[in-house]
Amino acid sequence: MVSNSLDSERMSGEQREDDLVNSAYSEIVDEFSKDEPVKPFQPWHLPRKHYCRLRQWCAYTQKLLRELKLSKPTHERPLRYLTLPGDELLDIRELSKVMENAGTKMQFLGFNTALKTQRSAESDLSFSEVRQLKGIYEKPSEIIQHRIERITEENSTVRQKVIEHLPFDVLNLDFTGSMTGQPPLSTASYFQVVRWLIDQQCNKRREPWLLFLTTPFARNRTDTETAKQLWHRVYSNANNDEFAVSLANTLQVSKEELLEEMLGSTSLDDLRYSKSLGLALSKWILGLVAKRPDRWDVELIDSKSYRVYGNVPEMYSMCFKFKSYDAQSIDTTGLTISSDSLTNPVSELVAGLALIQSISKTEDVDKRLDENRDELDAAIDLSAELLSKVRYNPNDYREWALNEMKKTRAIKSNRTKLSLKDSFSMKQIISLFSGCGGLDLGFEQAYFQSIVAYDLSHAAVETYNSNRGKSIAIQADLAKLSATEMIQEIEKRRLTLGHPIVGAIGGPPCQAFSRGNVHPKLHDARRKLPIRYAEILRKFNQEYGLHFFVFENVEGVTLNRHKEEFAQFRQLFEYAGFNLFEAILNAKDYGVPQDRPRMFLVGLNKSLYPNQKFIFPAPVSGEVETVQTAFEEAFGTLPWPEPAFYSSHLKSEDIPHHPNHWTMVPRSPKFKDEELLNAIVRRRSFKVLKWDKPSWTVAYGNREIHVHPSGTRRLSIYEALILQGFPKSYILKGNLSQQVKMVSDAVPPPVAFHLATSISNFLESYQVNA
Amino acid sequence: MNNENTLIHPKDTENSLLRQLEEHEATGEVTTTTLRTDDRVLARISDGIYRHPSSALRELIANAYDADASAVYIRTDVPRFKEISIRDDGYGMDKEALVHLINHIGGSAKRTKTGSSLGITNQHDPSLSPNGRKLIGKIGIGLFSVAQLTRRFRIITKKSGAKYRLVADVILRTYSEDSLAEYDPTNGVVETGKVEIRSVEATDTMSHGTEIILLNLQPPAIDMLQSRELWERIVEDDDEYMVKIAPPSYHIGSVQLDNQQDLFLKSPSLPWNPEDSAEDKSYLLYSKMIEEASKTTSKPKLDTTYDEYLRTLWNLGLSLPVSYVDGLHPFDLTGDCVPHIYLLSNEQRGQAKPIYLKHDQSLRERLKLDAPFRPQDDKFEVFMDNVKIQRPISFKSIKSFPEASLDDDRKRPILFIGHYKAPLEKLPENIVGGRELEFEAYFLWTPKVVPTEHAGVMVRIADASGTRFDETFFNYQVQELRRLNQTSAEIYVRSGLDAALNIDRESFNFGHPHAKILASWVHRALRQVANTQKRLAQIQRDAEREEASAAQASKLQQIVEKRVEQIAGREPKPVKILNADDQNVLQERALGNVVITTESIKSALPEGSGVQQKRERTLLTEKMKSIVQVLEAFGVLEDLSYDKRELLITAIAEILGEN
Repeated sequence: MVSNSLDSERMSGEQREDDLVNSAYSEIVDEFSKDEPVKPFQPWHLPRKHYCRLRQWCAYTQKLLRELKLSKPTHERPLRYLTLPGDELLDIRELSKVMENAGTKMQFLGFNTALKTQRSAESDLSFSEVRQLKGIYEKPSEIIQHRIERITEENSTVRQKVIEHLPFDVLNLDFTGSMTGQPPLSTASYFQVVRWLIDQQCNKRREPWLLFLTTPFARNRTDTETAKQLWHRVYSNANNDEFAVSLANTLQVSKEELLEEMLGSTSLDDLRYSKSLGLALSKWILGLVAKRPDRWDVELIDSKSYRVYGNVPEMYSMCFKFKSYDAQSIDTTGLTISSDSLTNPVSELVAGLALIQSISKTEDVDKRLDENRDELDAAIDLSAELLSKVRYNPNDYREWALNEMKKTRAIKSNRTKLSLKDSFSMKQIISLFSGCGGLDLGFEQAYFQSIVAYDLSHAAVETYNSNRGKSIAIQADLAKLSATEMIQEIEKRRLTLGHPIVGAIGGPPCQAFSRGNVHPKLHDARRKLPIRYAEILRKFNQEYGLHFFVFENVEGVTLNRHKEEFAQFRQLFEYAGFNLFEAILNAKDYGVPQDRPRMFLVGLNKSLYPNQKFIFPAPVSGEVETVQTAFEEAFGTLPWPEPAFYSSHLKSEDIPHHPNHWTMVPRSPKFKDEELLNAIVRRRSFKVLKWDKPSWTVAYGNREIHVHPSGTRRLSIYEALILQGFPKSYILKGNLSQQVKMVSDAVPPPVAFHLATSISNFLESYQVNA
Repeated sequence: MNNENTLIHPKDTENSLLRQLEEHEATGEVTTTTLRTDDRVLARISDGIYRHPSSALRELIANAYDADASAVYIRTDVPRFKEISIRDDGYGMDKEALVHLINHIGGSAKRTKTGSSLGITNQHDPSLSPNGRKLIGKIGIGLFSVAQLTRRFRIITKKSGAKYRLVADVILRTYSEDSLAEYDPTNGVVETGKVEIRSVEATDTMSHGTEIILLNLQPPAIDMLQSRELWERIVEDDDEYMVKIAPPSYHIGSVQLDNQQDLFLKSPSLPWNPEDSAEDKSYLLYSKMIEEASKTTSKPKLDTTYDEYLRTLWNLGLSLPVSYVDGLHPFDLTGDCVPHIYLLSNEQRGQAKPIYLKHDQSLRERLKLDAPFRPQDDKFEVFMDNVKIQRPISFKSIKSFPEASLDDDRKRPILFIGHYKAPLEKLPENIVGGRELEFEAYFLWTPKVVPTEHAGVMVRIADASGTRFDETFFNYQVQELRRLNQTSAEIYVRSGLDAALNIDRESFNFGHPHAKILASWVHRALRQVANTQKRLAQIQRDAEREEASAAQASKLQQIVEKRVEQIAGREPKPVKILNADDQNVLQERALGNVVITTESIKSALPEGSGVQQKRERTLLTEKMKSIVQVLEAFGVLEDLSYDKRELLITAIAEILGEN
């Protein structure tokens, strides 16, 4: 001890000396931070995010301004806004315009997580710029360089700051991470942040206010325990019949599935998982205010979603509106005894039912922008304008955004293949004469799911199932198979009653009616198939109460020489219980690089929709896809891989680039010189495609595949698939002639997708009105 | 990148930097350069001429004022103080001005012809801003004051109409003896750091102004703003050798700071509520200080009322060219709100003369005062963390000043106004140090100056001041400590004195003739203040005493009247006090009136010239008069000879007079 004391004294002396030194110098920062010379675009620059910014954040804030009488001429005070705005303060910039238009201003409190010693100039620059905007009330506005989670700590300086700014009119919690990703009871969690803020808000104000919440609801980004506790909020309510029914009908989620999820098994597919977790979180928020004695109510007034990680829209952008029914003074003591007369006029159950409806109406922003070219263009334009203020080049932006949109679209197409492996989609249909699955693929993209598919061709069935990684298609001759046998098969496959079978789709072989068939044989067996189709429909309708059917055929059925027969088919379909709607849809109008007019007949169940009209999808605006653009997208940069030529030994595995990238050997001397390019060849067997035009109709009889625009060979099957609008990953099975037939008979998936979307919207709007 | 040797003339460096910047504009590239300073400044900045973080803020705000800003917003991340930003809406800088600035930090173009060509000073008069404000900044040392807070800062600036913003990142070098070795005296320029400049596109063409963001504040500066030393002493009060101290009445709280987790060890106690407006907060900062005077008997000090941060707000208010807390300049006070006003004389033996205002007439109108010597609509507002910075001085509620009373001239505040223009025109330039020296001033005498730190004199040049109240009044040597503690004065300089201000603007060089003249004038004024206050107090006291004796006399009169009526049924006969040799004695006696000779009571009266003795003499005399009146009414005097009467009176007087 004694001998050590001197040492320890010296030690502590040295220690103290270090303290002294440290107290005199800050971290020595002697180098400039290296900002990237060109700022890369970020996910929050995507048009879909701007769509949410405008259609949700700005739109609902504007409404609130009016409701609170903060806009001109009654404008009494600035709007108070809490946000997690990132470096570029994009939301603040956009909302500032709303303020300016309303003749008012906004004061904001932002959190930026940086505690960086080397902060980029961008955040300083943006903060400096933003405060000079007309819609901003500069004095009290500030950005705190801290994580918002710090407000959960009792004595934190961050909490003190928020208290100084409370209460807010609008809180925008655009969380970067997943709210449900943290385990329950973790400290400083997003849950605690939301809870504390809601409590404070309700304590300190009576006027309505908004909470924007952005967070993903994704299985692989959710803590199991947290999810369990959240599910419980929905599950416990599901004891109520009304709630359970609404849950099952509207979100397609059963009580049993919820229980299974709570027990840790994955009974819900990604889409339903996402929606029901969103519901659970909303119920949690509802629970926070429902318990209060001071009569607060919360509504989910808007919900939007988009894809971030996968194929399902899992990122939710939600707008909650909080309203107080008690305009009296705030009870800060909490002593007021809540009597019956003071309880909320809206019960938690009723509010819960409303939440189910709101969640089910969640807008799929990717889908919306994909389908609506005008809106996409507007979103890109407005986004480019906003980003130009933070020094991004608008042209670079447009290029990047469009490219990103294409990627999303590609993911969406792949979605079918991936998500079908482990799940059933919510709207089930029956597919007849399914072929290689083109029509089905489009319907799958619009969230329909074929429970069973029939086709006569073995190669088609193999193709159908292998692309879906699941046995859905069955090889069968529909001319012979009885409807009863089919129903038995369907009943075997149905897992729960919660998944109604809503429709049937199919295009019977069409050669008999095609324009090409000038001398139809009256007794062609194939002509009976539509009659058979009508019969089956009638049976299915009796059994399942189908909402709709889709019948696709060549334009020729409507021609004079087939008129009588076609009228007869129509009668039979009507007899099966449907009102009919007919249209010729040309594939080139729906983003397919092909001139392919086809007749589509849509039947709506007479008893369910006696007076409703079906509207076919409008042509997609924008540039017509050409052979050139389609091939560029499929093959990328030059040089493009040449196809393999057919030989009896050639196996599909040996074909480079794509298993279907093969074609017949160009034997004809016409392919040698440039004759085909220069001559105006109208001969059927040597139709040459034009680079700058859509393809002729992909319908190759007798191996008369169209000639590649180079004039040196015929198209490969893969190229034909591209011209039919199939995703690159789609692979046809069978031999070359089987493949030629399959690709010729297929409905282009994009056409099917647009039609399916129209049907889906029709069904949804009916559901909403009912 | 800038390796050209220091022999290159600074002007060339500046031009090449400018060219580089313009070339890089197209590519968005960053321009890097070393930071240079003119050597005339270096010596003065080497070990930090500024004592307090608020000095740096003051200098930066002064720069904003000089740039014709109408508003300045200071933001700190209180209570962390990791960074501070100062944004103004002044005219901002273009490339030329910024390049010049960073090449001459501390050696500004202000007040030179260069300044005018860069558009940072007035075209006709380099001592004025483009819009005609009198410049506060002198040699542009302001920017270097930040060195005391941080080595790392960022400037963002934009001129109206420009389609770009400039961003300059600066890293200052820690000055040490080593760098002297690199100092090449041939061109008078020293490398003091490095800088990176970028020009970025701006869509808000009409915006203008400059923002300076101080990053990574140095620990000593943070400690100071956090009142760290104070809190450490309070926390460590179990240390028996530490002097125990109470926390200030108001503070921003004390924080434990370990980088991420900043928690309050002691919660803030602010003089305002969070929902109060910036203006209200400003007023509350002032009024809570004044309230301290009624809470405590000791002298209410700024130091014990507010922590370092709140004092910073207070002191900025004192030093900046901002409005007074109630929006009223002292010279705009009207007859309604000011009590005694005196005009100070500039004569050697002169005395202050009282001035009378009509109730709605202002001092300014009555005395033709001009301070603060700029147009009323020339707005300059400063906000710090959403508190409006205003001068924490108000004369509006002068009657509720601590310990003041309008009914008692000894406690009644007195406002002295002065105006002086030194007749320097005829003196040779080289002696005078400036041909113009003119100022206006007020001296307020009040029983208790709150806070005590406001006792003293403060000089404002261009309406700004770097000095605190000088409680010695420029070394006033007369023993008037009590009255000096009761006097608060501000001097508004219209012209001159600039050159007498030391480089940090926090003290004067009293070797300078202007400072000497000013000091003498102040001393002359103080003498008048003291004399006037003394005189007024004296008059008050005299009047009071007179009144008191008059009251006593009338009481005696009542007793006498009552008793004489009772016994004799008539009014008492008048009694006169006359000298024995007075001719009237015989005449009075002949009329039957009673006379008391002064000689008869002389021996009984206390001697001495003191106020007290005087008072006692008067009282005894009055009593003797009354006794004699009663004796007369009872007929006691009738049979006595005049001599005996005199003896009787002497005897009674001696008995009464005996204490």
